[in-house]
Amino acid sequence: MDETLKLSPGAVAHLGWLRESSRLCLPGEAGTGRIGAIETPALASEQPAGGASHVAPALDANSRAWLAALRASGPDKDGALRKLHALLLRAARHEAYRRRPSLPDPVARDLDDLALQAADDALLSITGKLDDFRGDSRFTTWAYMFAIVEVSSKLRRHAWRGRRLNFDEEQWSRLPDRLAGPDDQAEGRELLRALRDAIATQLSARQREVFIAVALNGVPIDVLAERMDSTRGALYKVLHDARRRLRACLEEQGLGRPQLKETQ
Amino acid sequence: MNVRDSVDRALGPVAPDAGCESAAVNFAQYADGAVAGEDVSRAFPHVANHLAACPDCNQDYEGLVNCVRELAVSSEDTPPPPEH
Ligand SMILES: [Zn+2]
Repeated sequence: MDETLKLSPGAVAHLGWLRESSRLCLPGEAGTGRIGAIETPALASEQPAGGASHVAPALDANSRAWLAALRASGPDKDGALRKLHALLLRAARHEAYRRRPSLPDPVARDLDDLALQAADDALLSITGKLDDFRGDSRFTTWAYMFAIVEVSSKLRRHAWRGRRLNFDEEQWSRLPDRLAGPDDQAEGRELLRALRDAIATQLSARQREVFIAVALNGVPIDVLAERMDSTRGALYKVLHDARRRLRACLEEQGLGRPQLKETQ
Repeated sequence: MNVRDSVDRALGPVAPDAGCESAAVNFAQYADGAVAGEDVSRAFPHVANHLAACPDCNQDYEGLVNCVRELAVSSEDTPPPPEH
């Protein structure tokens, strides 16, 4: 890290946090195997994520200039780092304020601090991953993404801080009452009863916990990952597998989604 | 939203899915393409499917696209010129 770069207090500590226990899925980590999605046959990630073959286009002049400046040394690099930090801060603040209406008051009051922390963390991440930039997007878009992922995760965790995530059995076993309105027909109630029973009998304890929190109660995966000491990618895989089991179970009972079949 | 829709939503879309990490690797390219009006969901179907199934990645991606669209190109978007 360049010593002349002024980061806010705690940035170096954040670097350690990011590298050692990142629960985010930042680009460039795909090959590390730390996040579980890649090796799962249940997900389609053994194939290239793009369906079409994509050849990275020639790098645009601005992206080339960014890379050159960030790989330089001395004052050129310092200037580039300062400017990149400003760009990341602008993106993080933009995203934080865009989501302000949906945030609880205590979080909304901290937006500037959270954005600054996100920009610091994003800068440290980017400088460590410059070689991962493949040139298939503008450099600034690639950089923005780090700022957005960082600020987004901080906003979620802040918003859910202190909230209980234990959804007890009594709560979700009343699924038919919760989701079915008074006008819903017997068919809808039958579907909900089947889903409730499938949740109880077809899922592992971990799958049940993740499915109930994320799919039924809207807990962000990042928040759950933090509480369960896991990662977004790993918990998404658990959710994906749980959903597949439940869909299969409902299909066996003739309650599958009409006219849709799993294609994988 | 009726019961069928609620249940289908909870169970997620039925489609091959890139997973969080693989999708994230393509986010920047996907966002640039989307902002340029390209049919990115056709070019990257596994990413599109993942965005439909993963609330966290979807929210991040929306933020990225919004950022690319709305932050006007300014002098901050270019690195400072070399000093020598
Ligand atoms: Zn995801």
